[in-house]
Amino acid sequence: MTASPSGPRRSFRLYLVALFLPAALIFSTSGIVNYQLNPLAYDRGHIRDVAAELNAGRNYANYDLNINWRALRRAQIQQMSAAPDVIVFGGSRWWEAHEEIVPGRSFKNLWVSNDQAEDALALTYMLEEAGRLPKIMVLSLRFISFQPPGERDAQEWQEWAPEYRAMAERLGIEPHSYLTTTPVRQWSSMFYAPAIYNRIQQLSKVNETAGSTTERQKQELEVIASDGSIYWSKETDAKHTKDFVDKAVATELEKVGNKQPKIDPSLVAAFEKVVEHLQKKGVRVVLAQTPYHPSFWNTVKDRPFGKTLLGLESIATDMQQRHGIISVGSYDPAEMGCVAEDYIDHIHARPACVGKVLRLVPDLAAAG
Amino acid sequence: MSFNSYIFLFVFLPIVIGGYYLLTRLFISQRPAIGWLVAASLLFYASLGPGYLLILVGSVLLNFAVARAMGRAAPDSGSRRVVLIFGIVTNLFLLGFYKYTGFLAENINALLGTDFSAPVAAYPIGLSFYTFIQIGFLLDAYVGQVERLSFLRYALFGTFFPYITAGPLVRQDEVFKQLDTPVRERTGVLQIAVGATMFAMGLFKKVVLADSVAPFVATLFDAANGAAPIGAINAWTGALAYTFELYFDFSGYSDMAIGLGFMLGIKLPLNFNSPLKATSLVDFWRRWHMTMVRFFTNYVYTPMAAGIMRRTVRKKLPEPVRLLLVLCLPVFVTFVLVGLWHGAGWGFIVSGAVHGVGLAVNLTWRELQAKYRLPDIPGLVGWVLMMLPLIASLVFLRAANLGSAIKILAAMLGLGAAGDVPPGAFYGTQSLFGLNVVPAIAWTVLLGAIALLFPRNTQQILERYDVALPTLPSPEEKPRIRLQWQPNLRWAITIAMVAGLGLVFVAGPSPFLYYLY
Repeated sequence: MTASPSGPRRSFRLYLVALFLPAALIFSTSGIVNYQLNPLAYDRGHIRDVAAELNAGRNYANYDLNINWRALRRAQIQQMSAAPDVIVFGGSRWWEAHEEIVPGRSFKNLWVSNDQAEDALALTYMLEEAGRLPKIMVLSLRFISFQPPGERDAQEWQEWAPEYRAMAERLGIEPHSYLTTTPVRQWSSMFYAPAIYNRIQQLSKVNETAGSTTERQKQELEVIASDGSIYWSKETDAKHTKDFVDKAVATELEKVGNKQPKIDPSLVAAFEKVVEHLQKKGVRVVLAQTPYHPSFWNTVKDRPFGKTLLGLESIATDMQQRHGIISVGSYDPAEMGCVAEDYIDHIHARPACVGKVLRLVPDLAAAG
Repeated sequence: MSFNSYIFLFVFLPIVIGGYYLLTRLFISQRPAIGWLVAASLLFYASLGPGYLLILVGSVLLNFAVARAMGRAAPDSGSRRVVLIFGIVTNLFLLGFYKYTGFLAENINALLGTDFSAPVAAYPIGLSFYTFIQIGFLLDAYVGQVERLSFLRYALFGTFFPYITAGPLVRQDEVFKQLDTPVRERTGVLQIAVGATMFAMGLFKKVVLADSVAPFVATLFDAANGAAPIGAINAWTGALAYTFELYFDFSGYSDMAIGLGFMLGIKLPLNFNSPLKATSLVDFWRRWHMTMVRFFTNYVYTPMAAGIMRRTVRKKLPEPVRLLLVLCLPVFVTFVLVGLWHGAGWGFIVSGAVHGVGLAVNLTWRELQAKYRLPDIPGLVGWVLMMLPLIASLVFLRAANLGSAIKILAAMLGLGAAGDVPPGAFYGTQSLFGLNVVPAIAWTVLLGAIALLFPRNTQQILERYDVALPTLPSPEEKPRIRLQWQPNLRWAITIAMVAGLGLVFVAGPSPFLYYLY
């Protein structure tokens, strides 16, 4: 190898400037384009507008469901004109819980993607600040609700970090560090170039345009209903064949393997404090667990993963006994009378099955 | 925080480099600057996981104390040797405790029907690397190769963030000798420009090339762990994809590490030298993870081979036995240990054994070729003979278990179960300019073309600036195409595009593969 030539420093300085500027341009262009192509993921103004549409009783059709659900829910809560009778909150396993399940009551499904225990604190804070606490709050526990933050793959919960911290302070809970709650990954994704390509591909294949609608189901676009639930497009519905579902279950079983998600006792304690707080505010709290696909459940119940699920059911039962709250549902589909045809994958059940869980809640629907 | 995260790129690195350069210019002594790097390295390591930092700090303190104790003992004294053995055993015990107890427990349970479990679940990232770096240090200190031992310098050596998580496996003299030269002579705008260029190319290799093919690799290996049959084309596509993924991931990481070190005025040893262009397995291992090969050669293979030679030199052994003992046995054992070093599992051991057998055959051929003047193997044939065991070994490395690995290899040989699906159905298709393509195949072909046909690798592009230290002797290569970096506008735009693409691919899911080891 030859010795390093010294070269004039000026040329290296100019090189660095000439390197930095185009690189920064590529980087910022990627961000701007993603921002424009995915307004429901990044554009807070647009998210507020969509929330207003939903609160006004209109539905909203979008290209997919990969949006910032927590930002949308925040905007919905801030713009709610009245407190709903019933709020269902949890992860996407609730996404097809429609208002028809709860006739005679005002109903809001505020499900978010990849729910965590911290979300219960944040949601309660937002509802309380807006003066919109419901009469009945349905919460639920999923397999990684109480997983320590450092072990989580999904970081969407960080969107509600300010509200989580505020509620933690209110309840006297030590919050996670700022480093843990800063939503780096969420904003990082705005600069991800392959997302632009995927979005352009999506837009080029679709004839319909995203926007407000009175329809509940569209041919190509997914619909976010005014009650907060979702309706699959006809095209997406058609994909949910038995083969598709069986393959999804098999894939998830391989992914789960012998993993046993942890249950962090401090997060359980924080969740309990929220439950107590809601009860003091006169809210009837219900813990509702949705069942898994039968093939999935029958395999995982004997694996370490099943131990976590049993642990969560024990937590729910324990809270029921100590706080007098209602706990309904089960991860076991046989207990709920749910069958394989009720599922689109290992965990997401159709309205018929989800409805069976909610109808176990006494007086959920208005009498008469 | 990893090299390919925005927090590292936009927050940690600018602050560390800025603070370091400021301290080197404000103070004549480099102690504040070294202290700054040590603090930054500890912060970097702490960000990787709770509790990891204590293990690293404990390891560094222990090894420093052992080196000091050896320094106080008389040369050739028995106590010096005892201290060395204590140091090495303690290091290996720490590594074994965190890395191998689970594997040991699994096998004991399988054999005896017991129910043991590993005492700890989390493996501290980089433990294999910084343990071996420090064992190398102790061995060098034992033979008197460490001239001056200061805690601050040793702390930097033991924790330096560019190499602490996945190498290169540096030697103490490579770092300490550089620290002996005035820091202002080895830092400046040249180092920033060249180091940033190296880093950008590494980032591109990792997040654009390696990570783009990763999902397809996962598709194959997840399927192999299930019941679905796998066809030959799908098996070959995924296996090749993994070969290229691992190469670009690890060599990309190494480029980034070297670039970071260069920016901070510390050259690191080269770790990759276009290994997939090798035309024999022996040549491959002079080009792949070179610092690891150097370590195992210096501290395992050579002493073992020399010891066997000493024991057999006076015995008149038949030629095949002599070849087996002196040539084949040491290389086989060394590479089984290499496999085990990579991970605690039978797949890793088998992977190492595949290379051990392949190298034994290769070395034996070379011996016989020299003795009996046998013809050279044509380059292409040699390349195929290198790639086949390499791909097979990597299948064992990546597969969830031996059964999955065998399933993939059987499929590659056309012996897979019937009922497989075409690549489009297996890996998915995408429309590209009106054509229905299988991205898995397209990406694999592209990565293969780059790995095999791109005329110069990153250090060759930067060879005017000696961006890395030489690790192993490699043959002089006359480049057919002169592709040499210079600080001019053309290169600035080129590297800006490389860096820009790297930055906009960072946000995808992307852990370093070699963090697992």
